[in-house]
Amino acid sequence: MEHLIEITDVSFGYEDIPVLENVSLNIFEKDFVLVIGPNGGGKTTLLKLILGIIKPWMGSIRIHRDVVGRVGYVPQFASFNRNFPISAFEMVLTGCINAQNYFGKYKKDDIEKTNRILEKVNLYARRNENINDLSGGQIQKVLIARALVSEPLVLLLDEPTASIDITSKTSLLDFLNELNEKMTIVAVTHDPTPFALTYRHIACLNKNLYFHEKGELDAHILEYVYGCPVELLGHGVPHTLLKKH
Amino acid sequence: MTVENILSYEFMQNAILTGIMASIICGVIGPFIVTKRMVFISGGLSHTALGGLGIAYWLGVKPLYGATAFVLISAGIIGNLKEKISDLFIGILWAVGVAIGIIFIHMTPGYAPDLMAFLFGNILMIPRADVIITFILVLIVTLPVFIFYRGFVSIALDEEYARARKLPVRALNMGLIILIALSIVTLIQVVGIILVIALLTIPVAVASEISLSFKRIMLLSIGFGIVLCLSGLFISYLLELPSGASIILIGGILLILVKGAKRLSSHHRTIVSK
Repeated sequence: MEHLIEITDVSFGYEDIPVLENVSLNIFEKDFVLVIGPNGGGKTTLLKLILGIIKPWMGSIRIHRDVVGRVGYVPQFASFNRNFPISAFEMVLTGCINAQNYFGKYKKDDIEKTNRILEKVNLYARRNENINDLSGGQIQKVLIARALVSEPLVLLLDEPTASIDITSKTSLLDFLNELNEKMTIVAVTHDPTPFALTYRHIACLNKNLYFHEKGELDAHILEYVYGCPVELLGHGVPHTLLKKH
Repeated sequence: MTVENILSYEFMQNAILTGIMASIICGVIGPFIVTKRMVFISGGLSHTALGGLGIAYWLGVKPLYGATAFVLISAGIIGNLKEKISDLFIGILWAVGVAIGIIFIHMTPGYAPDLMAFLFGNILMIPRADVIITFILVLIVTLPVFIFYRGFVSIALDEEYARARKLPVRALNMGLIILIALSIVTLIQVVGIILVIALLTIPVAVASEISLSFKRIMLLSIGFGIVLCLSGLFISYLLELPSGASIILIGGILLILVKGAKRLSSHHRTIVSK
């Protein structure tokens, strides 16, 4: 199977400080890759490199020709300007904007797509509400809907379960599972617990990256990546949890 | 004196036209300044105008041309600053601009008759030729905002996401700063260098108390801008007060009234719901 995204020996840093060193990662079609690691380990940087927002110091990132321009992005929860007055509908609609159409008016098709996606994430009834009046879980769904409106083949999510309650996490992961039937998902998180039943491959990132099949991950690798003691708890299903320490 | 009599004066017609055009600029650019937190940048730009003004006096050319050149050069510098150091350098530009202005005005022999008008604004002294220049500036500022509205909204809402969508974020940011610079040049004639920031932000602050939609805030800001400019203009004419200060003071009072009314109405709703 051809890789949709091929990251080969990539190194990158900010100013003179290296953040990623010799990182290699291949992502397949309809894969669900979970990238875990401590805060500051380079997870968001890796997503920005895939998106082309920043260029690697060394190494290469190859995006399959079918996927070029069809990589959706859900940034961290608090990254957008909360001071900007905007409704859920308008926020999702901005997902239609790209380098070719940032001038002029929205098309009828953009509006129809936005309404369809808002229905899919169960937020159609609240589409005219200000984004700040929605709950954390609903805002996260709006941000995912904004990425989906551009009809991506690969969806990159940065800490999608941070800042939302447990019920919303469950509903969000069910939704991501459903999306994974049609598209590739790459999620980065410092807390892999909510994703235990969802991911297919896991990559541990803390400047260097270690790639594993599901089930291969053990406490030794996690302790190395997080730099602290870790205990794994079995839950009767192939399910991995990090114990609080 | 009847309203008809007042309106028959050419200086009054010029003032009304300029006030309406200034309000359009306030409504179109102000919401971007407020939501993108560019008030400090705008303050820096407006004060650097004094440097251009001083040099223009010294050279004996039209002060507005000097101010425009200086504000545009400053916009170019600010647009190229790295985010980490931008605050520091905007503050320095602000002070250096004022210092250059003071020195060149001091070096210019004789009396500078319209210096006070540029510092504090005098909408009643705008000649017909400047009304036409203002009209051209309004077109130059508003047309790009209408054409690139989606791009400007994208960078104001979520710059990182705009980068991920491959939008020309740097060019859009630079474009926005240049449009702010041109807006400032236009508004300096109405309220002066010192008060220009208030005119760009007060109508938006009032509109934001009433609506949570960006487009509606734009339209309401234009409306409130017109109310402020025209009421300030008539009050300054009738009571012989400085026009720029009258406009801003009415704006301040309006903001307090709207905020007070909103608080009272929410307090009333809480009591009713209990």
